[in-house]
Amino acid sequence: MPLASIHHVSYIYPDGTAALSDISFTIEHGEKIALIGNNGSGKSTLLYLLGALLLPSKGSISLEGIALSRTTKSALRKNVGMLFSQVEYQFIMPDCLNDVMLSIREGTKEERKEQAMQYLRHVNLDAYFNHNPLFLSSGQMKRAALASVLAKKPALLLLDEPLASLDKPSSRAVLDILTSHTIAMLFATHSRHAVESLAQRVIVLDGGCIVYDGSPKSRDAKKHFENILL
Amino acid sequence: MNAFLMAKLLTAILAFLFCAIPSQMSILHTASCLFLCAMFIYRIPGFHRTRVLILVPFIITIAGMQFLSSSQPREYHQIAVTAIKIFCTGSIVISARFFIGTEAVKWLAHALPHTAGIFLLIFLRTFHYLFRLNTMIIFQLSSRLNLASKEKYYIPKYYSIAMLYNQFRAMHLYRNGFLSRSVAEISEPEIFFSESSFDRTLVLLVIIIASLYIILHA
Ligand SMILES: Nc1ncnc2c1ncn2[C@@H]1O[C@H](COP(=O)(O)OP(=O)(O)OP(=O)(O)O)[C@@H](O)[C@H]1O
Ligand SMILES: [Mg+2]
Repeated sequence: MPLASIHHVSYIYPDGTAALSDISFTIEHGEKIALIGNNGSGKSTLLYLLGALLLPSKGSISLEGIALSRTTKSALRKNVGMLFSQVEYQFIMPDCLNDVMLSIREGTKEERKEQAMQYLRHVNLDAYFNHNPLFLSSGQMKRAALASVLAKKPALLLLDEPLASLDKPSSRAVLDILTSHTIAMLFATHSRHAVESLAQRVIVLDGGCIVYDGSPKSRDAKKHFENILL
Repeated sequence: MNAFLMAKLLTAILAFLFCAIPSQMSILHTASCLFLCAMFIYRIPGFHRTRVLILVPFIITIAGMQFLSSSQPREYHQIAVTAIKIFCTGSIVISARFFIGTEAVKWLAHALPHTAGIFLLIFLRTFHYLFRLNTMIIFQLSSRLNLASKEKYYIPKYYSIAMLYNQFRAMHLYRNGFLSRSVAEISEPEIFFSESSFDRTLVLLVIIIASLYIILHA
């Protein structure tokens, strides 16, 4: 059974904008998929749907065999980790350490603290453990949010432009962190480097439809890269 | 919770009450209020001390209203008392943020029922976000308006619009960000203790002054 399946999904925003139309694909366990497309092609919308933050207007989505619906959405959210393109809205605690600890459900306080410190060390922010994440630089902030998301141990990781506003060392650091995990990932990006170093598969969106789904190495894929990626 | 953190919390409340409650203030009492308040303001680090300026428009508005509606000289004394009270209590509240820190909030969020705790944390987070936004909006407006000309008077107007608009625009971002975290419960937080000798002095001072006041009045 695939980890997630998306079956003839369409999404129309309340103001009438048709963001996605008739999308179908499946995500296997451990698969790393790049989601590319021009601005406004529906990448973020697709991620919100998989993150159970929106419900499809048509079609169905299921994760680990559970179909997404009004009644199952909060259960599904527990198994999905989401890194938004604007990460400043996803912090809850006033310092990095406690924010990561909030994502860890099991263990005594000491164990959770030790684990949280490990995640912070993993994203190279252990020196900032008592800083307010909102007052970090944007690259550090992204890594702090990533630590909290990973600490949730999600079955599926959704990343919306994880490399936007990062410099070369930080991008490399984030890519290394993502490579070191075997979690299934779907990441929207405009960076050629991210696609080439991380993706095992690429999905290309155009105007809310999938126009390519397959290996990043094929000639068709390269043609799309020319038009879309930086 | 750490005993010293609790002592700081109580100290701030005690100092607040000491300045807020008495309606007739003696010279000695006024002087001790101002002294305590100066100590609290001194506790605010660096340029954050400018936050006390927020109190000035309040004082001008409220004391101004009283002045307009008063007729006898005896009431002028009362106006001064009001102004001093607003200044002292206000600056104690502002500096309490630095004196106690966010540590007490984390502890409270854990102690309160789940929904109330989450609400408290989100509320605090929104404030931090606003302080950040405040800087950005001021920078961006300053870069687009010519501050040397009359245009600078547009700042408050555009500032309020930008602030409000940003909050409305961000509503669904707040919602998404929070829901995606799916927080089941707020488990016991890690609290970072800081114990400076200045803080210890301040706690002692407030206790001494408040007890002297109570003894003198008993
Ligand atoms: N909250 C909203 N209300 C109405 N329409 C929206 C909303 N958010 C996005 N849209 C519309 O849905 C379409 C897809 O937007 P989406 O944000 O998914 O694009 P994207 O691929 O993530 O683009 P980008 O690369 O710029 O992030 C766009 O036409 C956009 O105008
Ligand atoms: Mg987007």
